[in-house]
Amino acid sequence: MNKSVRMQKNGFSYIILTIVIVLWGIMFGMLAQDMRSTTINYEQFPYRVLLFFSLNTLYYYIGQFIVTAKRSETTRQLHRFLVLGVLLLILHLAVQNIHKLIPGLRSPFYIAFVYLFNVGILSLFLIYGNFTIRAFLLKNKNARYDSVWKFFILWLFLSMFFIFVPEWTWIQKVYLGVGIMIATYLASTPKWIAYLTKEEKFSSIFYVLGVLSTVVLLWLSIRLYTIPRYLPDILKEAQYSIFFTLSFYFISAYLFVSFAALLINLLLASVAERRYNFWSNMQEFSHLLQQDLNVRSIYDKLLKLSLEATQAKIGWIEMYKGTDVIIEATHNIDAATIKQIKGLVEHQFISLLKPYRYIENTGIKGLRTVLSVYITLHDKKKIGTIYLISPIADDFEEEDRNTVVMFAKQAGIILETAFLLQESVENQKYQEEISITKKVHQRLLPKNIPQPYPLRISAYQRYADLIGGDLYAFYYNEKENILNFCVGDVSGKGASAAFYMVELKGIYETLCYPENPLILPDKMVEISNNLLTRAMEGHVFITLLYAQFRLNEDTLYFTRAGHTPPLYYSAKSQEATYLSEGGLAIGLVKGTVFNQNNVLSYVKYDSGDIFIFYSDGLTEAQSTEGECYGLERLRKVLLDNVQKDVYQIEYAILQDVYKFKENTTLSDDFTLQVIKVQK
Amino acid sequence: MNIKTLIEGNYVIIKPIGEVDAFSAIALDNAVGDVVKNYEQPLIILDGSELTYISSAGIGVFITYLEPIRKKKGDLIFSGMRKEVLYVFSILGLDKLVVIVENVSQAKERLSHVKESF
Repeated sequence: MNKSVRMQKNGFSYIILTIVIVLWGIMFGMLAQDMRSTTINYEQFPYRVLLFFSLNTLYYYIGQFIVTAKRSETTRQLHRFLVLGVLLLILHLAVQNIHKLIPGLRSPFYIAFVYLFNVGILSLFLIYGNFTIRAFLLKNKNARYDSVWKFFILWLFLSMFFIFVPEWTWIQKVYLGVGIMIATYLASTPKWIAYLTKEEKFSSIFYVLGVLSTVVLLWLSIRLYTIPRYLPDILKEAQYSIFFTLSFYFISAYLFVSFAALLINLLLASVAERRYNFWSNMQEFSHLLQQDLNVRSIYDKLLKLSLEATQAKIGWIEMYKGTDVIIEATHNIDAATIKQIKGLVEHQFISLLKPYRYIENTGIKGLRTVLSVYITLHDKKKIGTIYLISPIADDFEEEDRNTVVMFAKQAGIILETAFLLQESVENQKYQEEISITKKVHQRLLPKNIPQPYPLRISAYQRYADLIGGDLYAFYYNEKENILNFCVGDVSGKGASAAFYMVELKGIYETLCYPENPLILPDKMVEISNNLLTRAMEGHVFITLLYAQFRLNEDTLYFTRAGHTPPLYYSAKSQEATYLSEGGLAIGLVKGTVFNQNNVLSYVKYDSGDIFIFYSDGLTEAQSTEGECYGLERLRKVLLDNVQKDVYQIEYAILQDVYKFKENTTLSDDFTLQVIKVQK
Repeated sequence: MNIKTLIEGNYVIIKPIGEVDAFSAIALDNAVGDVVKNYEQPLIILDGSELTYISSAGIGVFITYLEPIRKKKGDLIFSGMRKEVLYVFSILGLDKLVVIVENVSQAKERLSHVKESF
């Protein structure tokens, strides 16, 4: 409601209030006038009109006033009602008894004033009461109930017309009877109580009792007041009139039922409250699913709610990651105590019928009751446990234990979602890293392979899911008719491997630059080791094979630094052998130790000879039985295909490897280069 | 993979059982690293009798600690290695860097000389 509207409403209500006071004033004035004359038979009609209109206006005013009050403030409304009641009661008693202090006051005029004043107070209080209760009734939110209420206020309103009917006939009796029936129906279900918290119920019960006694006291006190004979009949009838009786009945009945309901409710509160709390907690917890998938806050919330539900004083949550147990949330407990309790729980007999473990009395002071509940995924896999401890023996009721079981189940569902989400985020990061590394890798590998006579060269690379560090390069120096070929493998995977590959590639490029003086492979490898070892981390190493085909001399010079030994087929002897002479891998040691072991090897080749270069990813490809492909199979497949060209040999080898590994995935990527001398 | 760590007198015997791949290399790293960190003169025997496969990451572990061990005047000796693993060692040239013996008792004998020289 905006400010101007409220101002209007306030102004309007003042006008109404003034009207009521003026009407009452006129009534009193008339009475004073009438009583001055000695006639007993007053003209009744003006009194009736005044009373009718004052009641009506008041009825309307209070109805407006209370409807605007918020529905949720039932306790506050009760409080207001009580304050008003007590004030009116005091005022009533004061006015009624003031003559005892001032002896000369007890005149018929004073008595009439007291009487009129009482009627006013009663009407104000009853009407106010009616509408206060209306706000409570609206809590029911039930269409039929609402229409019954509307009918009741109409019934009450119409009852005011009986002011003009002085005779007490069967019509009034029936009218009153029907009214009482409706009032009883309305009073029978004080649902507003259900919406109160435990504390509010406690305060409400006192308010209800207070208001009820005020209503009854006021009613009795006013009714017991001696009615002066000389008053107009209507004013004598007023307090008995149907409107007053019905209102009084309705208010006191409603309050009485509320009082009884509150009393019963409070006695059974522990059960009802817990049930209610359970559902509201549950709802709150499920709510987390939508708003917060931060795993840590789920643990905290789960522990907090479990502690609240069981009223446990101590607790913790532990989660299992592989074989590790991680304490994720704690409340009032230290690591040593956790160890002690866990020792106890693990020796506890597990009931298959109960989804929790419960120790009624551990015998340890301050830690008597222990409840432990597993947090499980939907496939019943245990991912963690909640522990709750109370210093009082056998403190957790069956219902509390089941509540925690429900929480744990719910937590399992939420955590599963959270884990999946986390995993997919990490996976995405990981996939991105892989795709970057793959791009780097692809860019580093040669696009065009030189085919200098008499060599025929094929090169193949296969990427595994986990990208490795295989790298090869060909550099042909046309002037000298020399083909430099290097192949290497960086230990480790992913981005760091890619980083070293880039560095390695840089070194190749520099050293093989056509204008450079020709460097023999052993020297080349030595330089690489000196350059790379400086920059490499402790655990990383690179296997390298540097081959130099001096085509004019029909000789291959090579240095193997930890890389897989190449397979050489000699057409002359028709034998295939591994050229396994070689030194240390790059990055293992610096300087002299490396250089001492570094060797230059050479092979004088002829037409029909074949060289196979491969990375360990190929020979270590595993079959379903876990066997490695190995060197012998490679040798055999080469010997079976020596007559074929390089592409056919490559194909034969690959086919053999894939047939061998069947459905197993390759854990490593591999490269394969086949070089054949064809004169 | 499973790792057994045995302390026999002055020697620590580390025995990996099964395959050391990129993931289980972390456990191996912890096992070796603990000894290197906690011993004044780490004398380690790596019992390879039940080591069926070792990845480059696993070998990386030995390379990492070789220098720190030798700085502390200790040693790392490989014993009873299987053929397949021995092949990987020899390809990389690791056999030229470390002592490889046939069994644990030979390893102890080698280490006793190291101990005396300390």
